[in-house]
Amino acid sequence: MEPTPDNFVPKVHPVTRPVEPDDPMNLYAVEVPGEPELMLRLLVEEYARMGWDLDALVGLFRDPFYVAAHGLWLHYGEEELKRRLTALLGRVGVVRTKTTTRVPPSERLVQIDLSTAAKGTADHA
Amino acid sequence: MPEVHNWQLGRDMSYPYEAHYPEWQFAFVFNPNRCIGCQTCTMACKSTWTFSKGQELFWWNNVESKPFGGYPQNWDSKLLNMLEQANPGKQTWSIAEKDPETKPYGTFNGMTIFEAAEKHPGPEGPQAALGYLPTDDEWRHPNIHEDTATGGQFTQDGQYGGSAQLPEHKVWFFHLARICNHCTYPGCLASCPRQAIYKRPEDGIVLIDQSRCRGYRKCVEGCPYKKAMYRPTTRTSEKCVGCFPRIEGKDPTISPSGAPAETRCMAACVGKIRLQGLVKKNPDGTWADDPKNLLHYLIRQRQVALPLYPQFGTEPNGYYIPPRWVPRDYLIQMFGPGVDHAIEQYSCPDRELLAVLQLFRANQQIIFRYEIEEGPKVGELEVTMPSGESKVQELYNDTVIGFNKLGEEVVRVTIEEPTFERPAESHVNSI
Repeated sequence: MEPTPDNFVPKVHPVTRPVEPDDPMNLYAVEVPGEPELMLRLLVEEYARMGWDLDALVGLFRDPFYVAAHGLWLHYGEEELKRRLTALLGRVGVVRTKTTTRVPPSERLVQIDLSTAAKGTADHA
Repeated sequence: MPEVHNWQLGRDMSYPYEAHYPEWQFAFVFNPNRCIGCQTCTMACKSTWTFSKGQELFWWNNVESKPFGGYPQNWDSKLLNMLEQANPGKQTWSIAEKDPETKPYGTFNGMTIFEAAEKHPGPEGPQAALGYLPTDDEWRHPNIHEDTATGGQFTQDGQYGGSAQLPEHKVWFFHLARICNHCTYPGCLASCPRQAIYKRPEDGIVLIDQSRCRGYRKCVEGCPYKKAMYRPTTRTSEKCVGCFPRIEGKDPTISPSGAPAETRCMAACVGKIRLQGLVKKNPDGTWADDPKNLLHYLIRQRQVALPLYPQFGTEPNGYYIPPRWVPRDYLIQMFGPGVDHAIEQYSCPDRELLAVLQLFRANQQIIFRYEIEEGPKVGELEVTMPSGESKVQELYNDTVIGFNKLGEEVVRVTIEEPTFERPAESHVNSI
């Protein structure tokens, strides 16, 4: 059926829709007090302990998919957040570690010497 | 009901079956302080075990954002409410009589899910474990709304605000990664009328025998953590299997020597929040003295990692390092009265604890033992203590070495000199 002025249903963004109290999927919650400053400080300490520097941290906070960190980015704004991150990292420092993993024997690569094989002198024993 | 001992509650409790304990117990420590909620673990599990028809709503591993998230929605607050109704005002702990060995968190005075079910039978008769069956809607949307939380109450003429109208969440929250806790006294096992659920004697992994299950969903009802799930296509319930082939060391790529390897969700964790292990148990169910086992060190010796909702009474084998910025009352409700001590320890780790923390996700083989080669002091760091005050943490050039079950070295991590990037304005000698 073609839309006419009588049956046309306008498409609207969900944000503009009114509240429907009987909608089971609507959130019903209360705000819990908290301190963004403390959360920022402890997150920075945590990641600095894992070796994250300023660039890595700014990248994390900027990414909207990491919502806890990004919430702080929205709260402070990029410039202010960078200033705070720099100040915090200057105080707490970034821990560096070096990890050495033992490679299982079965995964060792064997180099075949093709130069001798081509001359027919390879030892097949 | 028989009496069993629950060390997390510091007392004996009622449980439908006599106590039987495995030789080793599957256990893990998660660190929500580090979790960024990337869901890599969730997808690793999903793509391995629950990608088939009828498993669409299965998330054996899920990451929910607290305080508002939950899978199924409100699973914990619903059960906490049920327990509070069964035992109003008495779900409390006595922390005066702590003992590091037998009562590390004090004594729980309230009722567990087993005791509440026994004393408060519902209209359909007594349950084996107090619980409820989540609705399909509660299972269907594992992360809905949790990140956009929350505004004021009753914004329009007594109506609550719709999610689309709520302001951005900018206070505190944290990401809680969850899998089956492979409990010592599982609620699912207690609830099954067919005795189709069992705990493996070799590693304590809790499994559902699919040939015995009739899909009554009593395990879904009785698991307080809601980690047993009903599959409509097979009409049976399923749950996390602890990636048991890996635990048995049957992945030749990761462990050619046959040593146990981490589960898929643990091995996939990019944030290094996870540490998997197996804990040696004594025949009486107590933890064997194994001081160089990572989990024994973190959970029993230092008490840095705490069980999730120990008051439920199932003695879960998943442990969490409490996130430091979260209001203390909330954490105590979630992890019990050991929170203050755990955060105090974790905020300024000494050299051994710092070294052990480096082994989170350091290797895909399960680390059974660690050693530390001590080095010289290389620096000092400023850390924030729970009181808000700053403290200096000393840093040493230590190397921590991890060994697998066969005693083979699998990884070594060396702590090096820290770097400080000072802001330009703080240079005292700048011209």
